[in-house]
Amino acid sequence: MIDFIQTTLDGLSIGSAYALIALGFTLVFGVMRRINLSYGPSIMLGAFAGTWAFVTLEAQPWLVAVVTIAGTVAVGMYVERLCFWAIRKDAAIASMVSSFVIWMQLEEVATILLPGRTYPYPELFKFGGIDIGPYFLRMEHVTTLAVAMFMLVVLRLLLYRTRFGLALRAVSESSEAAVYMGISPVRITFWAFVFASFIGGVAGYLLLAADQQVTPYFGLWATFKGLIAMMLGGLGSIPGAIVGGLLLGVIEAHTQWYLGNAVKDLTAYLVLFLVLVLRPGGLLGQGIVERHAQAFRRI
Amino acid sequence: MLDVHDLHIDYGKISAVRGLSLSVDAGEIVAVIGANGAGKSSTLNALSGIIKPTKGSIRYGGKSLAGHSVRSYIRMGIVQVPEGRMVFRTLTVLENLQVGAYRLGSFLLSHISPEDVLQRFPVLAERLHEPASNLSGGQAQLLAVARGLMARPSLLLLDEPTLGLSPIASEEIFRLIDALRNEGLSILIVEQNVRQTLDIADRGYVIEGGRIVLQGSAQELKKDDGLVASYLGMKSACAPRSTQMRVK
Repeated sequence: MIDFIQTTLDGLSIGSAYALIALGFTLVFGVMRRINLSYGPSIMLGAFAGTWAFVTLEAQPWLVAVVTIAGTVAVGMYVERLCFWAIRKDAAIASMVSSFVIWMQLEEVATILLPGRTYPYPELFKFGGIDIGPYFLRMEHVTTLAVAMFMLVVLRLLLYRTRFGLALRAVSESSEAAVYMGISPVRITFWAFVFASFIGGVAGYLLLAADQQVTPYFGLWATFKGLIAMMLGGLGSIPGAIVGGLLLGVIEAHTQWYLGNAVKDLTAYLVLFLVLVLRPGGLLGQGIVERHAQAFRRI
Repeated sequence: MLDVHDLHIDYGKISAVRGLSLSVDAGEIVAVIGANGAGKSSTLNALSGIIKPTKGSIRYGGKSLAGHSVRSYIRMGIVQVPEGRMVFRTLTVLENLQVGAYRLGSFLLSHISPEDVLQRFPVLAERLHEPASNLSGGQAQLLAVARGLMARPSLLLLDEPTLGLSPIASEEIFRLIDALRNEGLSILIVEQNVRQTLDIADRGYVIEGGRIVLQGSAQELKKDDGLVASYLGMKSACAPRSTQMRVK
């Protein structure tokens, strides 16, 4: 039982980082109905900028965090301008393909920046963690969970309490109608991208600081985890992204503990497969699927 | 107040509006009448900045607006209530109203209060926190107009406000439009319910093929034989379209 709870706690902590990445995907998908495949690689390149500062300039950990997040945001802006803004509204496939092409480009840039395979990434804390009864909480895990929860609260306030958030939700429902309100969907989309990249940068930093190393494969890894978490919870649903992320983390932690590392990813895919077969909209995205179906019936 | 001169709108090689001129004075309802595809909606969309005219001048309160963004139009006081209502179904009634004030609004939503506008719409006040998808067609149209009023317009552009509504709901919309004019708002309305529109309008323009073919006071237009034949008699021809377009 103690093992079970301990594993769940570990899973929730990594899951909260997944949730953040899934949120980034969801924000962009919500506004544009397009998936930004190079989201993970953008985070990876941001992290490479961070580790570059760490390795070559011997930057302090806080500076590495700043460089990672700022780098991710900068790359995010670049991706938005190139793959989404420059490509016409009705060419969703084209921008998805181009976001895949950009992915390759970003990996290339990362290997030019730092040609090696693996680089160290500074840890968040020098001290290990806290004991609560029989449980041990790693400091990184506690921080990840806390920061993720904090970001969720900020995101929620931004979306539901501010004019920008309202405009973003209006654009997600209908950019056509939003234009009549004097909202510029192009501008809102851009800022949604910036915000998603910021969230991604934070998530990337937390994950890598816990791992203490970074490789160019981090991009692929982050895109996969984020997409699975988003699909699991429900396409385009913010609570869904959170639930999906946490669930994915917990499932992975348990399968790793009970069945071994090799089965871990396999189980995640299996669960995703089952959820999509049983509930095509994901756990919390059913409403969105139904709304779309309704809209299509009307047309 | 609004002066449009020699307006041209082209979509690629197709020209929707060819040399249209019209004006709206303060505190009057001006109707734009025409068959489907005559260029009515294109004209309205150009007058709210949604589409950029190929040629022509749009002056409002002495300022030239052609080529400006929707933002500038709203800031100048020209607000359009789009065809098909385009209410945000996933947002609450309150949020729909607040998004109407987007261009005036402050950073926090709690600072955007719809109270002034709501006095006129008790139905909406009752359902403030419900999603707009719960509203009936008539209520959704009221919400669309209320949302437009949130931007504090001096000229309201209404595109087919009674499309798909029951006669009773349409009646309510026309009463609302009449009341708004009586309080000093200028209104430019595109409508398929020609008779009822002319009943409340001060003046009207008839568009055909992107040009104005007839204009005059509402009284004169109602008596015009050609207009009676082609539009006032075509109620039955409009009916299938309105049921087809019905939202919810």
